[in-house]
Amino acid sequence: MRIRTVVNNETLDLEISLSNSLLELLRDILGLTGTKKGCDFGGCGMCTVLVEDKPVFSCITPAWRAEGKRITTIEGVGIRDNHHLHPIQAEMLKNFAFQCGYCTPSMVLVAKSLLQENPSPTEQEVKEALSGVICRCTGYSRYVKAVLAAAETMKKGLELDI
Amino acid sequence: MFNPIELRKPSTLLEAVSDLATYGFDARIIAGNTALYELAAQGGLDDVHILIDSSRLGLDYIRSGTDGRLHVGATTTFSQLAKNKHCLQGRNAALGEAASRISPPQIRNMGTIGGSISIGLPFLDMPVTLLALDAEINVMSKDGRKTIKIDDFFVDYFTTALNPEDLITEIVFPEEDGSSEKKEEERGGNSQRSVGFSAFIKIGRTTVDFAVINCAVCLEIERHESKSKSPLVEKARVALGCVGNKPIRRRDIEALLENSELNRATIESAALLPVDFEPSPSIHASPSYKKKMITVSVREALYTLLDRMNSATPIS
Repeated sequence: MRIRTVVNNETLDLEISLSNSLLELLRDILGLTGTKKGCDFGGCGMCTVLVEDKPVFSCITPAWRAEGKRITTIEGVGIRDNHHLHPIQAEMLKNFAFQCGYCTPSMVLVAKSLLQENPSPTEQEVKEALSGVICRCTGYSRYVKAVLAAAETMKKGLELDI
Repeated sequence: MFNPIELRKPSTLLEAVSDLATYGFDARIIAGNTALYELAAQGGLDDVHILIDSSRLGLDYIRSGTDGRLHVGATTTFSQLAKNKHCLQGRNAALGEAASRISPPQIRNMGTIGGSISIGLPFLDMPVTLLALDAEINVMSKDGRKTIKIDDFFVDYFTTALNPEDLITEIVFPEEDGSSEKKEEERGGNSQRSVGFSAFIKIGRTTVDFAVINCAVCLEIERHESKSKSPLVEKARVALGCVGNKPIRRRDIEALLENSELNRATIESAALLPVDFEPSPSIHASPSYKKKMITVSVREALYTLLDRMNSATPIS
């Protein structure tokens, strides 16, 4: 079947199969491999993407649900061409938030959605927002620190969002 | 293997129930999809060939009806419930609380209230909450509309009172001020109408896991102007999940609470009533552990309710 969807601000007409997940659409059809596959049934959070700015698990979202929707993946965050990072990405680097990086795309996206809705989150609110993404390297405290720091940076108007 | 061959995208309830009547058990409604694809990933649902998308049916609403009751559309997500003021206060507080305890946020953004009861899983947070709140399930099929009381809705593991051709359209919660019959009786200047409070307690291994025990309690108390005396419980509904093949009510606790004043002594004796059944074991909790957690969760729910009653503004 054919669907029309918007991925990272680009309108696309795609041929998908009914049993495709949104994760398969992104990774296998579009080659956007920044979104990771983990448990593949909605438990680990590695496949998190934003649908209409809200985080969802792409592995249990049918690809056909992308019809008419705006999808944001990690490839749509920051400006890749001239190496400008989104403040959330910059603060994650600065705060040594990750080691292996497998969960980082999802962490960036859930943080982005949180700060868009709530520019001044409490530590508890940040923890709650990140709770659906499992990290097995650094634990979570440095991610929390990085997101709180990014909130401060963004409030000062240094946003580089595209 | 799960291999659907057709997607139906009805835009009206009539089209949806007509699809259900045509395809019956061959078809499944897709709402939040958090449970169905997990079942499919584990090798289930190979008998499902038709998917019916519920997202165009206009069932994502929360509104206070002209009948004074709260109406929640079947495809309303947990995120919507957790943020709506109607679901966060008074008699319906447990609804918003339960929705906000469903974890993580990604699931709250996807999962729906209708989906989480139609699948018939006894450890989810919505079934036990709706049981305590005495909700009614409005259902439509090609033959017309019907209402199923929540006490009759859950039948067994993965089994509800729904027929394959039935579509849940909305869940309706009783009005804040007790039952309508009661109001009718007392419409003579008598200010002793009842007022409802509810609370939801979830005990889990971690905050993002399914519950080991979940408990929802709804109490209707006699309304009075003075805060000096303990609230008098008129009606109690105490519901537990994760204990068997469907959520259950603790009618022994309800009987003890009804016509009693809610105070420390009542709460302690209600919580300590012996659990006279064997809760089903799970991978993380034995029956004996669950029995202890039942006592803990009922006590916590009742103290939470007492706090809420004491801090509520008395309305004459």
